[in-house]
Amino acid sequence: MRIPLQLAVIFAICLAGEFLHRIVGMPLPGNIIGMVLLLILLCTKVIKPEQISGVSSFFLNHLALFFLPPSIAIMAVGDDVLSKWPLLLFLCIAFTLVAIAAGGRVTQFFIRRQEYRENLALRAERLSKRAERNGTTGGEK
Amino acid sequence: MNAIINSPLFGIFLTLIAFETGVFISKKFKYSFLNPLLIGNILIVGFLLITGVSLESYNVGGDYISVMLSPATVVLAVPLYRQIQKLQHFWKPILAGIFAGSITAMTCVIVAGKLLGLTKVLTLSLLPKSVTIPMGSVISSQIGGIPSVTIIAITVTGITGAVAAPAVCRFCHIKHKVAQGIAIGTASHALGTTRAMEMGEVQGAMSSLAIGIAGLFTAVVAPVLTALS
Repeated sequence: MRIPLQLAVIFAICLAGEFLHRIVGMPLPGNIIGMVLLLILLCTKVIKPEQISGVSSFFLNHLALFFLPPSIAIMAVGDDVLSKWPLLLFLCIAFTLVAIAAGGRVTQFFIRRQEYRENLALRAERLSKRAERNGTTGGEK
Repeated sequence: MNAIINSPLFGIFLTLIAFETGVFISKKFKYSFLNPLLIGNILIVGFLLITGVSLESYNVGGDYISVMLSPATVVLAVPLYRQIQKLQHFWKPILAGIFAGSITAMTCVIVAGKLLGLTKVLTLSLLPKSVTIPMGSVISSQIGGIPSVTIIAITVTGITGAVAAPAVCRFCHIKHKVAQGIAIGTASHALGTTRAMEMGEVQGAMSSLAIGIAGLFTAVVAPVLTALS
């Protein structure tokens, strides 16, 4: 697709997301609904990633640029917020470490449990196969 | 002079120059805390304060770029689509881990907000801080936070993840590559993912998968937690 058409497709999805949020009243923000819509279109192969790659890689490669203007509004934030910045900085750093630990430990716990169960199932399968062979002695492996 | 300052091109030009300067500095000095967004922010705020140009004048142009946040969020579906095929075998542990990481990050903020007596607006601004910026900033404004504070908080969170993730994994004995990647992407979005990619291919892929899913979880759960708190 040519770039203007790619942009039109992406903007149409944005508008559809805004429509579902503002008019239909879905509780998620419009652009996040839009992301889910595009994900559905990709999964159902209605749109192929290559067809929108010009626009998608432009946005993805320079993502941070688009947050710069909204971040400047920090100037207009009241002194009651600005005066708390050392505390806020500390909280952001500390909670990031806690969240990494929690996410990692929980994922690892469930992976290990799944692997353990799969191992048990595998061993049970081998045992039953050996039983089928009716006592013929063979190597463990 | 006012005619020039109030032209949309002025704000757009200032943003482009500040951002590219930020990218240049962060590439040159390769410290994780020298983030292009933070440098660009400091440069523009400094420029506006020194010259006395108002935030309104800057936003005449800045708003044109801010509008693009919406399509920039939508195209996040593309990397998510590429990674989602990697869910395969461990999809249950992965979803459980992302959910745990997201809930932990948000619960910490709410509890700390209560204990330290932070204002509600401030607590809500910090609530979506683990999520990627395009999602976090809209979640913030939806639940009643200040998006600019959220953006800075998200950036600090991402830098922390990028700097400290390997140490946290070692300290907490998180050894499984999938678990490492999921933890980093969930807690510190795309910035942390840059570090996860250096740790290995599996970690990088899992981390970028976690960004989108953690964002969705947070978008759903944050309003509920806000109503409860």
